[in-house]
This record gives sequence, structure tokens and C-alpha cells, in this order.
Amino acid sequence: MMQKLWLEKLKLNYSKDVLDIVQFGSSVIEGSSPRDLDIAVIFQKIPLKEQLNQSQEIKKQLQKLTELPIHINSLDLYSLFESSNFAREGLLLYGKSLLSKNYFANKFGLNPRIQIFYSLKDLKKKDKIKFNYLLNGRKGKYGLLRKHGGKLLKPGLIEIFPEYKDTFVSSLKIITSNLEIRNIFY
Amino acid sequence: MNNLKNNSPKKEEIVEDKKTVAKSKTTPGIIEVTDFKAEKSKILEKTAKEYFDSADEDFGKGRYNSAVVLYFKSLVALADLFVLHETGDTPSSHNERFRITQEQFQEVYELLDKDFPFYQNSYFQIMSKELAEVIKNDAEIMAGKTKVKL
Repeated sequence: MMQKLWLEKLKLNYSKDVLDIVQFGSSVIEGSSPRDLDIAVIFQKIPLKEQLNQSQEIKKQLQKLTELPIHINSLDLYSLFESSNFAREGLLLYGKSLLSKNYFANKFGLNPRIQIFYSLKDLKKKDKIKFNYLLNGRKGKYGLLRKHGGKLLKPGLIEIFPEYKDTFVSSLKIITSNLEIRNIFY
Repeated sequence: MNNLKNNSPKKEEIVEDKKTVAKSKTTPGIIEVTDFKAEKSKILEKTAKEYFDSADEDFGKGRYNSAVVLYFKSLVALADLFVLHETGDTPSSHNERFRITQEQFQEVYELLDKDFPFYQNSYFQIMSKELAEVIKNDAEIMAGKTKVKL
């Protein structure tokens, strides 16, 4: 079942009113089992009626590629940044462009990342070692950082791609709950 | 509570009822069925108009979330009326409505599918005047299809 639509070579028909088509929500999170695919179509400032009609056409094309139901959202740059748009953060942090194949945030010159601060201070020595193995690997086996493209910025701070947040947090939490997570854009 | 339980029809009885209706539908001249369809049709038309009028009232007062919900309900009642005219029966749930319209009445499906997410999100999202106008327009399109004067 096709889930990561942004990784596919898609032949989509859309008008010049469309700025981007973005997949976001649970379906872009690594290791998730989504029940549907959230797609946002980002438009130039055109009438809402026109946005909705064009989104339906795009939805029809995308629905042919997956068995999961597609939930389509129509937004322009104004409604995207409105405080009432609860999908805003998810779109910017996790959103993947089906057109550029990159993060949607790249369109605004931003790179989304997640920083995880951790402290091993009160851990036993064996747990500190275990933690280190988990991040960096052991005996030729990749650790989480290498496996998922994360970076150790300094002791106590790693930076990862947003879609791997759950993967990292659930694994690290087994050893320590002393974690602080920040969403960043640079 | 027990009385209620005892009075409610048994599963077999419900099935039997459905069978009778289904049989009658294919037998011309059975007045009961015609009445049943006409009655349902009347109710759907009445509710569609009622929702639409209330939506207009809320729209006029700038209550766009309520207007969106009510215009959509009007749209659904009209879609059901359309399905009733075409098939002799009405869907009993949103799922069935979507299935029937998707399989048989694509244009109606498009309208419902396009507007349904706003109805779902109306509890926690601020709906705009422009959106209410779009859904109002869709209800009017459906009214045209069913020849209902809103």
C-alpha cells in the first residue's frame, strides 16, 4: 500500500493556482500505522469555491494511488498561517511536498528539525553505556543516529529529522525519561 | 427498562419488515409503499427547507459555524431526497450515503465529499463567511437537482 506519496514519481495535473501539495499528519511519521492520508493543497489567493473544486480533482488523482482514504485540506497562504488553522505546525514541521519532494518548510527557506536534550546524570554506568550504544551503535551495528540521519550536536543534545521523533523518543525513554524536546527551524 | 426491552422488535421482525418493503417496491400498485416513499420525500423536503432557512438566519447574524452545519444538513437532506427519487430508498448513514452516491451519482458524491470535512471540523474550527456561501451554493445546486424550492 502506497503511503509515502512524496517519495513517488507522481504525474499530477494541477493548475498554476496551486503553490504546493503537501502530505502531513500521521502518515509521514516513521513507524506509524495511519488510517488515512492528510493532504494539504496550498493555493494562490483564489476564491474558496475554486480552491475546493481544484482540491477535489487532485484528491481524485491521489486516491487512485492508495487504498487509504485521503483527507484533503485547501489552504492559501493566508489561511495557512491563521491561528485557527490547527494543522499549521504539523504542516510546517512534518509536511512533505509532493511537488519538490522536500520538506514543505523549505519553500519558506526553513529546515525543520527536532532537538532532543537529554541528561544521563543520575543513570548507572551500565545504562549510560547502553544509551551510548543506542545512539551510536555497537559492533558494526548502526545506532539510531546513523540509521535515521540524526546528529550529536554536543553531549546531551541530538538533532533529528521530525518524522523520526517518535522512533527516538520511544527508544530513549526506555533508558531515561530526562528528555526535553524542541521543534526548531533554521 | 425491561418493558422497553420487551417492546422492541426482535431482529427477525426487523428483517421481515425490510423484506416486505423490498417486495412491495417491485410490485406496482401497492399503496402502502407509495405512501411511505411520498411521506419520506415530504419529510426530507421539509427538513431541507427548515435547515436552509435556519442557516440563512445564522448567516445573517454572522454565525458562520452554525450556518455551515445547517447548510450542509440541508444539502444532505436534499441528497437523500435525490437518492430516494432515483432508487426508492434512502441511505441510513453517512457511510452508506457516500457509498451509494459514489457508485451511482458521482456529481452528488462530489458535493458531499467536498463539503463533509467542514461539517466534521465545525466543532473546533472557525468557519468563514466565504465557506458558508460555498456550502449554501452547493445546497442550492442540490435543490435544483431535486426540484425543491428553498
